[in-house]
Amino acid sequence: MRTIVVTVCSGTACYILGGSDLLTLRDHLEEPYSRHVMLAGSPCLNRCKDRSENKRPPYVTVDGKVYGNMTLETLVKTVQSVLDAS
Amino acid sequence: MKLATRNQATFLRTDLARALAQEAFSDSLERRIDQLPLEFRPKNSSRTRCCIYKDRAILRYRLMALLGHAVENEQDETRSLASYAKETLEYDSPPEASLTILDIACSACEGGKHAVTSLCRGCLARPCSANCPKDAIHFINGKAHIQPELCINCGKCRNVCPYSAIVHQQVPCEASCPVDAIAKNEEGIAQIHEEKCIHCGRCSRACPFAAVMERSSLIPVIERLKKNSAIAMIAPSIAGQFPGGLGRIITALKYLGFSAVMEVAAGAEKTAKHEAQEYLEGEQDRPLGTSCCPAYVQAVKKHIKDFLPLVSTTPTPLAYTGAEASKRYPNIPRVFIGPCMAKRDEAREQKSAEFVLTFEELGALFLARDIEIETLDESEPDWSAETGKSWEFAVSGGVAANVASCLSQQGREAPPTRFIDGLDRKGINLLRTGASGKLGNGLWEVMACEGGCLCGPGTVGNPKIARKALDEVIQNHSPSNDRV
Repeated sequence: MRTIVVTVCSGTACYILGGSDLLTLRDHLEEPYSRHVMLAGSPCLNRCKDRSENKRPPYVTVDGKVYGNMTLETLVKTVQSVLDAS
Repeated sequence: MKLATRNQATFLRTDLARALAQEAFSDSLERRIDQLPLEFRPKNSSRTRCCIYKDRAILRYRLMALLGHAVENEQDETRSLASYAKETLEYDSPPEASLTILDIACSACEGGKHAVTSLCRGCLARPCSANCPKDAIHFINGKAHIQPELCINCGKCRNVCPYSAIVHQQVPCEASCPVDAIAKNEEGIAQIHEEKCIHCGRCSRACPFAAVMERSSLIPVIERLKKNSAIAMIAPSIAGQFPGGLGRIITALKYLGFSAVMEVAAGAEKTAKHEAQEYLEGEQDRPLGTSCCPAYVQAVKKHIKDFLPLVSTTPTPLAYTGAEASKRYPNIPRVFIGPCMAKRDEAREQKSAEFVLTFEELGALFLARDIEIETLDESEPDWSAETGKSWEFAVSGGVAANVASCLSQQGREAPPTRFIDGLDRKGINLLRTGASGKLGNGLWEVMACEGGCLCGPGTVGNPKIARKALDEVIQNHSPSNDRV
């Protein structure tokens, strides 16, 4: 299994609209997944101004790909499936 | 059931407040407000309820609450939001009561009843029916059914079912209220009984339809921010509510238009010192209840009158901060910014702040002004605590720890301490018993919200992350230079 980088946007909008919940990701990942995730905050990813495609904050990048409208549950699932495929 | 700190409902509420604040900042509130429900739910957009028209209708009521109006008081359905906005701008004061129910958003939840779920296997033993004292359980097609008119909700069937097939359906708002102040009316719609309500805000968090809203002071506060004439008094629980750390949050508040930023933690230092003194001088056979949590103080006033003489008479951190603010900046409106819905009562009764905003509302203001907090420089507060210790007032255990530390500075022992961490029905009964003196003396720290202010109904930050940010403030805190 590769190790992937998960970046949680800590821009004002993302943080207020649920981003801080996402920073607890590690508490919700089981082994072996949690060992293969590097979690970091990041300055505004500049996605929040774009409301097209029904996306909205909070934004996260998982292994380089950007996801919007993230909740803790969807983030856990996304991380697991990216790691499973790797 | 506990909903996540932030969910779809809180997202909508914040985003709507953001849109409203944007219009207010650009002086277009009256002209634009009636468009907002349509812009949030345009034709062919996805819907939450039965149709976009109901969604829009509910958005209209949410906007009324954000303007500070009581939705229950609506007399004329045809009235425009613009006319409500006009009234808000003219009234220019904080709304009276704090919570309002959006009756059409209320789902009239079925509840308070026991029901058999599909897990029922229609077993041979049938302990549910055998144990039912009212013979209310019958079997249809081999599955248990409860006859609602006979059931007395004793719960015996639920306890004995080997498959956990019987559930007690709760009405989330009613179940969350520790003082039975919210109850369904004949139509099944929730209603708040003001004479009982302690404004703890639990129902607003518990309702999955976000049908309980605060009557906001956003608009009158924005009008003052536009003139750069408002003092921000920030609760210690602000740590971790926003990104970037305390210094940047203070800069962001100045960007919004607050002319000064004062730490309520500085007032908390005084509260701890005086409460310690009060403890030393007080009667030694009864408990002394802390004074700083307004929802618990309301609960005592409305429901546990015997405990009232035991509540500390020491002014709260906000009372000290508010007094300092009016001394330093006479006639400039003071805005308490915190996690709390009950603080409004305290601010009004004690005249310690003209307005109260929650962190969620402050977040909406940051969004409306496009303030990227983590890119700002750091600033010092205009009034700050001497050490970081009093910032612990934001968490359960912190008030007692501060009082104990003041006592130890005088060479005294820490008092025996009892913690009521989250004022539920059990906590209320404990206070009743404590008032009789049966539980002895000592310091009683009461926090209406489990975990303390950091977990209050107006917070936006995850409590665990916020706790880390709070610890950082406590460790790195240094007083600003102009402290007197």
